[in-house]
Amino acid sequence: MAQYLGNIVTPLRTTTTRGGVPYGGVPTYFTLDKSSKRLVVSYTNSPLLEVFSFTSSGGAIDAPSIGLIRGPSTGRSISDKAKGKRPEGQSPFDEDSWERASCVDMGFVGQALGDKGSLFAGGWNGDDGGKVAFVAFYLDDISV
Amino acid sequence: MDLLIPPYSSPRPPLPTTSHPSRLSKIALHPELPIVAFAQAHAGGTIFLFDLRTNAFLKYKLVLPPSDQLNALVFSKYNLLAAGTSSGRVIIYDLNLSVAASTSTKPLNRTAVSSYASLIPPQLPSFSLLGEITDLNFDPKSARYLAITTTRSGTWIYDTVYSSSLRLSKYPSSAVAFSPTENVLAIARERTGEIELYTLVRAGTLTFSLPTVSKSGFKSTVTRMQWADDGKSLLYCNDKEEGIRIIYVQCQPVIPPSTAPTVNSTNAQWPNI
Repeated sequence: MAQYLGNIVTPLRTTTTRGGVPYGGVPTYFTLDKSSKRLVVSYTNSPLLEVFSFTSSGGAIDAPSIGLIRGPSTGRSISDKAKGKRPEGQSPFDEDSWERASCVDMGFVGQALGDKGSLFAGGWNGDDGGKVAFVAFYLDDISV
Repeated sequence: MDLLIPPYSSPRPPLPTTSHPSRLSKIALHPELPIVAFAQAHAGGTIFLFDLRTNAFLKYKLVLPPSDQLNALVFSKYNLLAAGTSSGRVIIYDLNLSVAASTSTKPLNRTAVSSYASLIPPQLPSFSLLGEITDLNFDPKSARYLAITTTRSGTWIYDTVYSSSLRLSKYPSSAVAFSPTENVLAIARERTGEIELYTLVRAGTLTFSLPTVSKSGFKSTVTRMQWADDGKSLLYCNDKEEGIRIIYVQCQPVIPPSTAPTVNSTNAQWPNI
């Protein structure tokens, strides 16, 4: 009844920007959007979430990593770069204006962005309490 | 009494009541509306509802019992919100999620129609028999049946229309997921790394096949499962193991209903308890 298709590997890595924030390793939560094209994964001991572009056809799995989502902004000194439009799944984790919080749960919001996008919601616990942060995914923004 | 009570599901120590800042435990996303529910992590915490249509909180004040910590939170497409707690309780709120409900300024603490999912008779101690609630999932097609996994008494199916329940599996379980398109239910057993797969038949009520048990590839608990939109690819991850694995599940012909449990055959399950 069940056939094993494969494994999306999540080795432990660090970002190449200053500070070298770790991500990868053991997943704690993950969620697929309604089109099953975007997979977001949180990890133990990492404040970053990883975004994969997920496709499955004919028993073949493909899931390249396409970006990282950081924790919610602290609201302090957000640069123009951080405020501007960024490619899908790319949070400004090289800035200092975000919390090294841990993600406690996640999912995609129904109908928030119509048919062409998905709105990700993550619950975070940081030093100043819990926050819910949203990240918009516009599938036209990226081609993998 | 043959209820499986493994040593690892002994009661947790009392939870300290935290003051400030308030931390989050779970969030739930409505499957069809842009509404987010999220809950405070401490025992007796509050569940908040945020409406992205109006960028405003819905004026409900959903407070858990003082000794209960939220373990699972899930919406149905027909505006039921189910909350599973550390004390073995499942509270179901029937909500008005209209735009008018979130923009109304009148009732500050709007009351939701809440009820408890009665898995065992109320005079019996729920935690001793059921253990903690670990996960909840509504049947996405009918939004009527709620699958409930527990640390002591296995997995239950609760009919929200008739308020009846069926104990589907006796094994302590950690996660449950109805397929969105196929008539399949996946249940992750605790500590074994095994996944039970049930084929179900919809003929007035739900009828379940005997389970097919699939190995996840590791002995550790499957902590999270989600079906892809095809309803056949099941993604899951195991406790303390890297990576996310995918299995492809095909429906099998269901055994005759006369030999399978149905959600109306609750009494047939009680001798086991």
